[in-house]
Amino acid sequence: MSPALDEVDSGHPERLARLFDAHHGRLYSLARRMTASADAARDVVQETFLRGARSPGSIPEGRSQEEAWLVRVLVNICRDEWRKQSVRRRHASELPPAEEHRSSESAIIARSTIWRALAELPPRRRAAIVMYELEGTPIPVIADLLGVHAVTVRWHLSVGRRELARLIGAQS
Amino acid sequence: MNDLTSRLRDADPMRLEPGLPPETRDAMRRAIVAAAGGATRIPRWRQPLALAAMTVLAVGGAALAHRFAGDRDRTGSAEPRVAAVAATQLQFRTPGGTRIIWTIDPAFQLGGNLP
Repeated sequence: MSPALDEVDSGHPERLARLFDAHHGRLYSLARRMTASADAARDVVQETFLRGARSPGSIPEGRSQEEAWLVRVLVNICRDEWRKQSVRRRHASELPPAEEHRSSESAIIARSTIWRALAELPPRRRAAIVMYELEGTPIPVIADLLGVHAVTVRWHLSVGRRELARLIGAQS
Repeated sequence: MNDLTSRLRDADPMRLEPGLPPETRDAMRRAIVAAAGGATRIPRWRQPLALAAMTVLAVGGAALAHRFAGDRDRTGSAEPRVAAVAATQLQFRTPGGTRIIWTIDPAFQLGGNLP
């Protein structure tokens, strides 16, 4: 076998550190837009990297491949959490604390409305909306990151926009 | 920019909140690196070796099991033989402690020629 492979194995913590340095900011942004609070986003990001630490052989080589792997793991973690909390999420308010924003009451209500609507979307659809609308990521790149076809991303965006419009209309 | 996009951007928590605090980021990095260092993992060059060892163990175990099964069959077949030997004896006890044992020739056949 190739000795290079052994070097990769022995340098596993270093690789994880390099992965963290390269991707934690991007993952935190996505996680924060996928979760209801900063604490939840931190937990999701940490769990994403811990899964990488537990199964280092499954992380592909190459920056874009690494990023896609990490994003998919993060979205899967959000999906697991979303499934667990789906009932509670429908009935309980998980809005960010109002005092954090220091905004007027109407602005807070408007944000909470869109936030609640986003929380209703399935995580993969929400990720597609967040990446496209907030991060400005092109559809082919979103498709690579999520591991789906570009047509599927367009479908998620289309359905997601309709669902958001319906949910926002229902809440306001 | 349409209305939905503008509303999404207005509600974007990354616009309204500070990002990951440096101390939190450092603590998270330390935890992840520690977890990576503590993860036990078989080096890749050992994986075929481990597979070969498991195969040898499985084949050896199967062979041993087969052998024990054969022994058990042989042990089981010995019991009727003992019973057969016992069936060819007739024992009598008489008062006074005398024991008479008749051993019948297994080759004896009723239809045989008389002497």
